[in-house]
Amino acid sequence: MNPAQHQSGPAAAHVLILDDDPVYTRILAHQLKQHGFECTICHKDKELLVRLKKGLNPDVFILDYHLGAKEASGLDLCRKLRAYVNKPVIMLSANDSLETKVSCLNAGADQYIVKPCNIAELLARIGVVLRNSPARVHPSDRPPTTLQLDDELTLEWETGKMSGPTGAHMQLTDKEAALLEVLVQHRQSPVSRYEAFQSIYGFDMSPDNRSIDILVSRLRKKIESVNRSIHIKTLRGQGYRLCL
Amino acid sequence: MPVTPRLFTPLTVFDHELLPNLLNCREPGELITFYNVFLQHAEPISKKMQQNTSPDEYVVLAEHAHAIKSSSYSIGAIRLAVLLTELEEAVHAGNRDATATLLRKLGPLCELTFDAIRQHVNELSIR
Repeated sequence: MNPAQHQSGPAAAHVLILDDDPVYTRILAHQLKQHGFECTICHKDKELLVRLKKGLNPDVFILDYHLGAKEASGLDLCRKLRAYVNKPVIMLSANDSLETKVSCLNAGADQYIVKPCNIAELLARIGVVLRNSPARVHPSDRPPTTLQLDDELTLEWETGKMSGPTGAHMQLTDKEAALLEVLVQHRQSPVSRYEAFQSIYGFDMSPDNRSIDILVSRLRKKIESVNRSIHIKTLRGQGYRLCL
Repeated sequence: MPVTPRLFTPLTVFDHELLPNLLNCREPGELITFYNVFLQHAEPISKKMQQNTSPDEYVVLAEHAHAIKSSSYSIGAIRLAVLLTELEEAVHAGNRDATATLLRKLGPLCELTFDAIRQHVNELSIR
C-alpha cells in the first residue's frame, strides 16, 4: 500500500510538519508531496495551535524535537498532541541521545528518527504509524485543544485551566497539566514514576527523586476540588493511573 | 574501529548535486527557490553568530548553530554543516577554546559557502 493512502479512505494522508527550519521543512514537504502526501508546514507552536483550532485535522504529525529557545519543546508538544488530538506523532531530531529518544517515546511519540534522515525510511515509518492508527474523528462540539476527561471535566491546552461541573475551575501549573496529559495517555494501564518523569522533563529520573509524587499529590487535590468522580489511583510497585 | 573518512577527506564546501538528488528534481527554477530560502535564512543567523563572540553568549551561539545546521546539510553546504555541528557540540561540552577556534573559522567559511551558492544560483538562472 502506498504510505500516503490512509486506511480511513482513498484520500492522500495529511502530514503536518512542525520545524523552525524553513529550508528543511520545504525540502521535507517537497519529498512527501512527491509521494502523494498532503503537507502543512508550521514553524512555531502557536501557529500549530491556531491551525488546530481552525479545524486542521492531519493524519500524522512530524515534530522537530528542538524548536528554538523561545518555543515549546518538541517533547511537550508531542505529549500534548497525543493527549489532546490523539494522532500519530513522529519525532525528528538531530539529537541521537538514548535519553531523549526514550523520553519522546514515553511522551507518546510513535517513532523517533534522527536527522538527517533518508526519505525512504521516513516514508516507511509514516506507513507504519498510519497502519497502526485507527481513523479518529473529533467530536464536533469541542475544539481539539480542549481535553475532555469525562462528561464534566475538561482541560484547556493554552491556559492549563481545568473546568468541572457547575462552572468550578482550577488553574494547573505547566507541570501539573503535563502530568495529567501523561495520565490521560495511559488510561488503560498504570504509568510508572520513571515514565512520567521522562515524559515531562525529558531526561532520566534518579531513584530518590520525589518530583512525580509531589506533582501527583498536588494534582489530586486540584482534581478533587472540581470533580470528585475522577481520581488518581496509586498502584503499589506499578505507578499511577487515572480512574474516570 | 573503522576510521571515519571525514578525518582524511577534505569536505566539500558546496555539493551541487545534493539538493537535486534529495528533491529528485533538476528544474532550475525550483532549485533556485530552495537556495534563495536558505540564503535568506542562514545569512542573517550566521552574522548574528559572528557577533556572539563572548563566552557569555555561547549558549545563544549554539542555538543559532542548531538553527541552520540541518538546512546547511540539506542544501549541500557540507563543510559549514560540519563546522556548525562541531560548534554546537563544543558549546554543549563547555569547551571554550574549541568554541573560540571554530568561531574564528565561521566567518570565512560562511563567505566562501554563500558565494559558492550564489554563483551556482547565477549559473542555474541562465540555463
